[in-house]
Amino acid sequence: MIELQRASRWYGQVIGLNDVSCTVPRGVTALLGPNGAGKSTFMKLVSGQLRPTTGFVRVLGDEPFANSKVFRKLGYCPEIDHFYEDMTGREFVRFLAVLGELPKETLDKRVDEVIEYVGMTVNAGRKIAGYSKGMRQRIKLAQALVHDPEVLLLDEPLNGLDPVGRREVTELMRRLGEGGKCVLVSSHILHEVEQMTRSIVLVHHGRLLAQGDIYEIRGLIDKHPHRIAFRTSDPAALARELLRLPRVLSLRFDDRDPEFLEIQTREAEAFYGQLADVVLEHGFVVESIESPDNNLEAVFRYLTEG
Amino acid sequence: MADLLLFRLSLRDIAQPRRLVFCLMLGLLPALLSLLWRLGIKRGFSPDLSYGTLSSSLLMFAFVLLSAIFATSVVSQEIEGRTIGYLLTRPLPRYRIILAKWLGAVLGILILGLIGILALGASCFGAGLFGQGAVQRDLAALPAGALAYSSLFLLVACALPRPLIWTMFYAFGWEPLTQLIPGFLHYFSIGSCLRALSTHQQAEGQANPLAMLSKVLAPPMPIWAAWTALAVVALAGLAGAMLFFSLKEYAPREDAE
Repeated sequence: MIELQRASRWYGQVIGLNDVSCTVPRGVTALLGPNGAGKSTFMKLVSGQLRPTTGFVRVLGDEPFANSKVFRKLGYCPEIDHFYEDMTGREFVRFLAVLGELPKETLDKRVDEVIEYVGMTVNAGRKIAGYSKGMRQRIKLAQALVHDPEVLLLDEPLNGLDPVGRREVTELMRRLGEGGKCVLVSSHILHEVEQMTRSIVLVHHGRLLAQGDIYEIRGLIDKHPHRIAFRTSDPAALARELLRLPRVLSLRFDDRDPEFLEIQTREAEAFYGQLADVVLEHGFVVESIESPDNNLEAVFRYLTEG
Repeated sequence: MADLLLFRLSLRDIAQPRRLVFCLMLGLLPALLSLLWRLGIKRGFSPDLSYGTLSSSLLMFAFVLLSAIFATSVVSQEIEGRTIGYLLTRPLPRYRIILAKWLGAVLGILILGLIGILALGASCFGAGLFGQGAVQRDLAALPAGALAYSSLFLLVACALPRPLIWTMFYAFGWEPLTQLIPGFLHYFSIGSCLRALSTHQQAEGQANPLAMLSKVLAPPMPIWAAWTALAVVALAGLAGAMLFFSLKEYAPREDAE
């Protein structure tokens, strides 16, 4: 639904995005990267506010820059915390719904629906100037959703939300993705992104570093073996048996925790397949198994820090 | 409906209390000066002379400043307020956004200009202001001036960064300069066109040397030429602004990595 082909964007001598090619399918995809990585440039290219210097960007098959056809099907929630402050929340959403060419007959109903959807019904009549950060974030989300777009671009939508709000918005995005919409979310709150999706686009220094399923990407990072941590009543015995497996690279005990054992392997899937046999054969009691670096945080760190 | 909302948004921007108070003071300043003039002279006060002198300052200074503030804010207010991203990611064609907002600005300029002229006329002529030829000529020239100045300044705002500075260069640099260059360069000045449309009585013997020099160097502009020039500027400025706004990128620079 979103396609970038060798897209680069320069700001004078500074490069914002460098030769990026990727596609973003239906469902939720997280756009990740440290500050200054090129996320905002990516978002602005896709939302049709900037043109690529070279290459092309397509949304639903069309170039998005100043393209009304694309904007009818695209919702954009910017990162910036700026509004028409003297409008009420409802006026703001209604104003942008009218600009979004919503039919007059269904306009007010749809505005009320979407305001309720983001949990702003009670406060929609108040001026935006008096809103808390969380309310502003919700009303910004409402204006992006009001015309029921097929493609939704959300730039740091979790910023400023309280934990309950974050959970609600995360759930909302997951539902939208499951409903067949293409949702591209830029965020730096990695553990919450992880609850939303496994599909990521990772940019760093303006370049595309990785794209795809987070666990598949993790599996491809050979440089950093997978760490798997166990809590068991007899870590020494378990270690002895695990060392016989060809895929185990190293072992680590913890002096402060007598039940702790950590191993490193390059082939986690194959290791898990053999682990069950070892545990059952020797009757080990294993309280827990964790893979501390098989998550978005670790993948992000490994890819950006090298 | 979308156009109407944008038109109202533009008027809402103009009606911001601080800006409105400043602009009203600017528009009413000549009327205030006229009252002071009348109070200061008491005997021998000439309404025609007072109106002629002060309405020139109204049209050539206050009105230009008002036009510059309102016309440039059509775009720069959205950029500085960083709300432009909301407008430019909606299906409404960009030229319609700028057109609707510009119309709001023109209405604001007209209303304030009208208040300024009527207040000045009332302060000079009292209740009989509508019977005065000079007032009638100013009222006729006002819409043409509002359209021409606002179109040109809108084009500047769409095309250049820091548009207010450029408009000041134009209004208080270029326009007086064209008066002092022999030939027909003053045809490229909105102020000269407006002066041709609304001639006023000036204080004899007190006219400043620059004004006398400009009369010698720049031949009087026929009224038809003034109307034509204003129409061309208004249309070309507006068309250029709509074109620029449709093609140019307006993503706030601070966001650019």
